[in-house]
Amino acid sequence: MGFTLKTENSLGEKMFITTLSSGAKCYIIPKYGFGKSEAVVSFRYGSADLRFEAFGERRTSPKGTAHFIEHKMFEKEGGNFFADFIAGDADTNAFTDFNKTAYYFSCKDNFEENFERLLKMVGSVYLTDENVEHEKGIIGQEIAMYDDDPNWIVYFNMLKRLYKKHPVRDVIAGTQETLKTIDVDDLKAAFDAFYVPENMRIVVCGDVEYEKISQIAESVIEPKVNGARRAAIKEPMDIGRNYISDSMELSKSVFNLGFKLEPEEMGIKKVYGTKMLLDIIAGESSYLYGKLLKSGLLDESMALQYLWGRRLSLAVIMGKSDAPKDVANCIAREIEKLKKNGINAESFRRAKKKHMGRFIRGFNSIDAICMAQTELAVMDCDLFDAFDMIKNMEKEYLEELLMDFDKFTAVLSVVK
Amino acid sequence: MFKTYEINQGIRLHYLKDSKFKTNTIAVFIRTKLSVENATKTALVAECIKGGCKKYVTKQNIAVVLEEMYGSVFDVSVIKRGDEQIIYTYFEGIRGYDVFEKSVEFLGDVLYSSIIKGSALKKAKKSLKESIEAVRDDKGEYAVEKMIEKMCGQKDSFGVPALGYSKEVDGIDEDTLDKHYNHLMTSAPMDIFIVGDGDEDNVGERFKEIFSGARCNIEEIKHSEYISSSDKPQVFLENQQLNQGKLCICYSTGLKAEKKSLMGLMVLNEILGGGANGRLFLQVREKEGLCYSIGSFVFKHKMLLVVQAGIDKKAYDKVVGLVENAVNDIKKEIDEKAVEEGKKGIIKAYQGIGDTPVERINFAFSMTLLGLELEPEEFMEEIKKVTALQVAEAAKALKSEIIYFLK
Repeated sequence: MGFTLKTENSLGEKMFITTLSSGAKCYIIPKYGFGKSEAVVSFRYGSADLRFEAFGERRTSPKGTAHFIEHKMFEKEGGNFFADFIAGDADTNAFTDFNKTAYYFSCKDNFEENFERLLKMVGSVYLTDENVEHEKGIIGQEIAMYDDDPNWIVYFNMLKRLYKKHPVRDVIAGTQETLKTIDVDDLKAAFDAFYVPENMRIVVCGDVEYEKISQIAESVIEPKVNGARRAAIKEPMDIGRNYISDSMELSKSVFNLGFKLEPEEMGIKKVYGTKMLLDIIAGESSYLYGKLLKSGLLDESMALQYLWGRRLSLAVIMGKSDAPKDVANCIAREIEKLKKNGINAESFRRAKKKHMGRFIRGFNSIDAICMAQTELAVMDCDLFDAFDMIKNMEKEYLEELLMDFDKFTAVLSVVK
Repeated sequence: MFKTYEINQGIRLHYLKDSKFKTNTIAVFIRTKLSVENATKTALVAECIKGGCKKYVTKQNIAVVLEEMYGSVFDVSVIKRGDEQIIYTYFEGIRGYDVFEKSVEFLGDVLYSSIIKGSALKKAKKSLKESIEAVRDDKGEYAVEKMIEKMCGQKDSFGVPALGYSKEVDGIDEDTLDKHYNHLMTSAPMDIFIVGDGDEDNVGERFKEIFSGARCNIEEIKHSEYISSSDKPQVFLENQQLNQGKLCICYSTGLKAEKKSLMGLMVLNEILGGGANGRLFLQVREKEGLCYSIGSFVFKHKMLLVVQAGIDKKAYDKVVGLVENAVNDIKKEIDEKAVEEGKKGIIKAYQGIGDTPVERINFAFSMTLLGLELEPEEFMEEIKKVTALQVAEAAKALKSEIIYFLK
């Protein structure tokens, strides 16, 4: 088995990367002196992958299918894998987002045994009519929980207005109505199509021997044909109405201002460049935040997010304000000003320092390393690629990205 | 292990040298008695500290200097632990580039030259009121807060909200707040925890210089257990038109927060609601499908156990019944196997306690507050020693005090 060894001397870290004979890709980051090690196994199959063709059949999954599979993965005939991980002294969990579904565990002892368990668990899914109906009760409560969360509501309201066709507009777990329609056949079809080694990314971090880890993965993962083709997402750049408002009787309105960006040329440079750019526009040290703070339109700083994926490039600025429309107008004006005058060199210098420092800080935590690498593995990149991007980022590139921010493809979502 | 020494009257420095991290982390805990009279003032002082100081007048100014320190993280919050209200100031910055030296100076500036007047105070008041009112927006947190408030009433200061009371904020004038700020900096006990890679003596000397202000009449803070006063649990239903009901049930034990009984209660908590292996999870979620999240946790100083769940509103009676059954079953009998699994569950959680600086610090501080002075390995050894009898004693002591349902 061949490995690529990558090192980042300034961080004192290294990573072993290999592709298994089945097509699954492994990223192994040794780290010593910590209490626990962690492994994440993810599949490049998320809530947005609803329409596909596999084994000669075209399918449209009900919304929430990927998330439902995630729930069922822990069940097996006569029991569940939770109990097995607990017996192996490991903590385990999973999550689904737009691009992927990830299953992970952490433990101090029995790492190899638990790793093998995780790999075997995701190799099949135990589905019966009865256990699917039973899970609907649990997921129904999860959906209800999110329906009471203003941060969830404001976000998905924004997505619905920004995207006319892209499945990102649909809530990850689905709705109470779509939940009812999911059956064994839907789940099995999606599982067979997407849970294949070529879609699989394995990230391991901790006190591990990289050769042993990859040997286990090589021996456990069974080859499967990757027969799925995702349907193309044809999403126009124009948006619906640019404002949406909902009421939940909050103490203060929450807002999300989303900028729909061109999804072409998606890559790691764009991801890290856009994150840095958002910080320069609206971060805590920005001229804009200072102005909004002084005027009383904002108190707490805004949260900044860049969301990317298949035909997806979205920058979101989130905050709380009694006058969110005024805040949004200020943000739009600031962006136009920056487009006209360029980014201040001092702001850029500081932002680069900040992003370097925060990236280094991420290497404190085995979990943070695993999650960040899992995210990058979707586009077959690694953390050291990301660090290079940050270190070598140029102001002119950010100014290019800025040109794509257009108030006519932006939506303000508010929950009061 | 942390090395502890007093750098000024009532100010202790705890230093842990750990070379595996990429950052140096400093946490300053300013401790005071939680009381109706002072809670709002203390929370307002924290807001002023966060908002700026003589050198860095606004939050934006602070953000600029943090960026120059390679994106260092700084935050000030107010927490409550038992009968204490604590201003928790946190700083974390990467190693090298003189960041640590700058961070110590920065902390001195923000803590000792806070602006307690004029527009800065006005902004701080607005922020505090918004923070207090925002608790209502996180339904899970709100349900727990209201439950504690109702349960404790006037008789136990644990019922006082960590951020104080919104209606009091505007009435606090500059002089009163300034006096309170000076009182805290002069007389509140302080614990400073550092996880770093610097020379211990140099670090100690530097912090001694920064925290060298006048100190006297150091406050003595005593913790007391919650004392039950009613035979039947209170029941509160609050209607907020939610999609999902938030259920909180609080049990008192009347036990003293000492090592033996605390460990017994912690193992009991793990058996009952400690995660995917907990009885509540298995019964209410996996078997009955009535919830997505359910679990329990312990307020250690008050030796209270809280069950918390998000449930279908229509299932309220059934879930309350299932929880009661689970508790009654545990009171009747606890087998050795359950105790061993409970112990394993806790140990598993604590095995990673040294894996991030903030968890290591929070653990050490919680031990300090409880007067236990245990390292993580020692703590795990104590858990291993817990017997079925200790757990049974904790179970028998459980008494339902209040059921709070937000729907």
